[in-house]
This record gives sequence, C-alpha cells and structure tokens, in this order.
Amino acid sequence: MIWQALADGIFTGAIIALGAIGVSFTLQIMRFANFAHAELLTWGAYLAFVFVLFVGPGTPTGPVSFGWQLLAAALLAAALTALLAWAVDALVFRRLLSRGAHPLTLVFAAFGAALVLRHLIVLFWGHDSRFYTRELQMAYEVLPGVRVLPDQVFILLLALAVVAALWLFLTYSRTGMAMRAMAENPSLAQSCGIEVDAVIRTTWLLSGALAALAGVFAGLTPQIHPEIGTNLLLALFAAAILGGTGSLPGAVVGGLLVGIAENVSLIWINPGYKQAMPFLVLLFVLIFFPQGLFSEKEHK
Amino acid sequence: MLRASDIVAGYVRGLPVVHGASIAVAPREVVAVIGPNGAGKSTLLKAVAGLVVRESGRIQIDSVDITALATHQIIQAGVGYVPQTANVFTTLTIHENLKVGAHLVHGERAARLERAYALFPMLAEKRRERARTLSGGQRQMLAIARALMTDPALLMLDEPTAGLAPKVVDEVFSQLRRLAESGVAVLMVEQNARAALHASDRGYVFAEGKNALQGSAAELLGNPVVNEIFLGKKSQRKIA
Repeated sequence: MIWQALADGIFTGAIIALGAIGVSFTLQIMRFANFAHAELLTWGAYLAFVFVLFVGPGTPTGPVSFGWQLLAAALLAAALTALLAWAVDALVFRRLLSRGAHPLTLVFAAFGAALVLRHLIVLFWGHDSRFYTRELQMAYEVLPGVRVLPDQVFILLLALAVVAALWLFLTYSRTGMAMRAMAENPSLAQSCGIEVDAVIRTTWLLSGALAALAGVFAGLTPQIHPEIGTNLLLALFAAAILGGTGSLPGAVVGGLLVGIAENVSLIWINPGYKQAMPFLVLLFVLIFFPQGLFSEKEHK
Repeated sequence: MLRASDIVAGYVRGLPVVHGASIAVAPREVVAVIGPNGAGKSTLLKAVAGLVVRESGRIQIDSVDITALATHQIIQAGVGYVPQTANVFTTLTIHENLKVGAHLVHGERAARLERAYALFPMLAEKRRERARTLSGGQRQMLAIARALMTDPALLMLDEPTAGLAPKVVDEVFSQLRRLAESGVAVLMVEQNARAALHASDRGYVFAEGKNALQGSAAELLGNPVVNEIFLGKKSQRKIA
C-alpha cells in the first residue's frame, strides 16, 4: 500500500513541482507571494480544453489515452497562459510597483486578481467538470501491488524533460543567468547591465507557461474544473518554500515531497484531510528549515 | 570622460543626500573621493550609476548625457560600478559571475573572459567554485574583474579596500593604478583617506553632500585642514 501511495505521490508531485517553480521564481525575483499563480494552472487547463473542443484529443497513441492534438493543445495553452501572466503583471502588479506599493499590497492585489481570474473561468465555462478525453485507461502493475496509468508515466517523463530544459536554460543561457543574478541581488544585477524589466517579463512568461502545463497535466488525471488550480495553491507554496525560494531543484524536490506527503498520509488519515497535509509540511519546514532545503543564500 | 555637475540625488525624492556635487574624472586618472560618513560619497557614485533618484544636475560620459538613463543603459554607455558590499553573486560560480558581468557583451565574451583570468590569475584557478567560498580580498578582485567585463571607460568603486588586510589593500590599489595606466578612468570612494590619496592622482573632499575641497592628491595630503580632519589629527575646525 505504501508503495502505491509513493507512486501516486510522485505523479502528483511532478505536477505540483511544475506549478511551484513559478511560485518560487515570483517569490525570489519579484519578492512577493503571488496567490494568483494557482489560477494560471486553471486557465492553462481550460485554454487547452478550448483547443481540444475544436480538434479533439486525438486518437490514443500506444498506451496513452490521447494523441498529438492534446500535446499541441498543451503547448498552445502554455503560450497563451504565458501572455496572460504577463498581462496580469502589466495591468496589476507593475502599476502598483511603479507607485511604490508595499509587498503586502501586492499580495492582496494577487488575491484580487485570483478571484477575477477564477470567476472569469466560471463565467465562460460554468462549474461543471470537463474532460479532455473519455478514453478508459488500463492501469499496469509495474511492481507487485503498484499500479500506474500510462498517462501518469507520460506526464512524469514530460515534466522531467521540461525541468531539464529549464535547468539548461537557467544554467547556460544569457537570460537564464540574468534571472539567477536578479534572484540573488537585483541591484548588482542592474550594475551588470541587466535590464530589470526584461528579466521580470521573462520570469512571468516562464511561470505562466509552466503553470499551464501543470494545469493541463492535472486536468488529464482525470478532469478539469474551476478549482483545479485553487486546490493546489497551498501545495504549490509549501513546495516552493520547502525547496528554498529561487531554487529550481528545490522547487522540484519540494513538489515531489509535498505530493508524496499528501498521498502517503491517506494511508492513515481520512481523504477529507488530504489538503491539510501541505499546511503541516509548511509548518514543519518553517519551524525546522526556515530557509528551505536548497536555499543558497548566504546567512548573515 | 566623466563630468557630473550640480548633482542633487538621494534615496527618496525630495530628501536628497547629495546637494549639488560636481566632479570630473579624465581617462588614465585615478580620483579619490574622501570625506566623513554620511557626506554623500557613496550616493554620488550610485547617482552616476542610476541606482538612486537623481533630482537635478547633469552627468556626462564622453559628452554623452546619461543623466536620465536607466542603469543598464548607463553601463552600456561605458560605466563600470563596484558596490561596497554584496558586490559578487555568491550563489554563482566565479566563471558565471564574470559571464553575468558580460551580459551586454556580444561576440567577444570568450576573449573578455580570458583577459579577466589573465589579469587575475587567482580567479582562473577557482573558476568553477561558488563566489561565496572566496575571501574578502578575492571577492573584491572578482567584483573588479566583473565590472571590467563590459570594457568600461570609467570604473567606479565604493570603498574597495573596506575590511581588507593591509597587504591586500596595497594589492587592490596597485591593480587600480595599472588599470588607469591601461586607459580606464578610475573613481573611488574611500574611508581609508591617506592610502587612497597616495594611490590617486587627484581627490575630492566631500562634506554635507557636496565637494568642499579638491586638488591633486599631493596638495590634499599636504593640506593642513584635510590633515587635521581626515588624516589623524584632531581639530574642531570645519572644512567648507
């Protein structure tokens, strides 16, 4: 039973990790908690759904329940959600920052933006759950007592590939390095000739795209609904803080640990309390590792 | 090279720290700005770099007006700036620090990196290590090397020898002299007034947000008022 919970936790954790990367970047580079981030997951899921409405999810390819059409939908949703994240910044956060807003003002503005984004979803698509595909999937027994769906494995591999690409981008590209420099010391980054607005723009675009992928992946297992992002909000923040803000490996490991903690806890507690697990993880981290597991900042 | 006139600048609009300072630095020249704490020396450098609110005055680099430009444009115009504290990216490797310093450089990054390592061989040995592993003096060298990556015409340093051992202080100053000889204009703010003037061609004495005295390093070192106030002897007399 614990192995099954562990496997489920890893699959959930991969989705949380993709969402947590954006939260982590916003916390570190823009220096505020963007509670509207979870709604970007929802928007990503629904934008992909619109594309799927037109072209269909595609015929099942091999053991997975969808075809290339759904992947194309995910990519299109990633691009559009990236633009949405950038637009929210331009309409809300940048305007407040240019007036010298306190970080707490930005947090409340993020709550407001989250409400607007979520209710726009309800306005356009209603409260009902939707499905990308109604194909039934056979679970495979990969280890004694551990069953996984091919879609879950596919999502995990895709999430790993996305994280690997992001790591290469942050490590070797000029813009990626500028993002890491800004995350550590914005003033020094400016003194190196880095244009702050350009880095912030890239950060929003990347965060939005990753959130959309997380939303589509969450919607594939098995349905989308207007609270798909909101339900993950605490998990995203717990993962980002657990990993140490601004750290890519931190957000990934944080996501996996929160996913595993949520699923393994179901062995002992009622599923109704599942969403309390990120809270407990967050409390544990803040008490014992206030800087997060992977924080690289110098402690003074 | 650098010509800044009647600069009024500070951290918050309406509350200036620098009140009408004027300063000029020529190529191949090392210029020191000395003065008591709170005289506005560091703020002046930040004003030139575009990191604080500039309320009035005019700043030119090689007759290009940079007064209203953003920091990244000022760096592009030929200014290098080394802050006093937190002047390296501790989470990045030495090599990455230099690459970030070359953010604006296109086409000849590799050559600039090689030049930096030739100038500071110690950095080459540690290029794969994180900057947080460096000592204070090594960090200062990395910060200078990083600021040189854009090939600046003017290099500004805020207290480059603060907290360093005397031997390292000499090393930093002789490095700055060599840089000036290679054609760079060097402007530094220093608490260590005597050592800074000895390493400089000219100096400005700041008080209450503007330059109160100026002259060649030798003149300032020989000036009784400067001597009394900054170089050790006690006095109740005020400059300016």
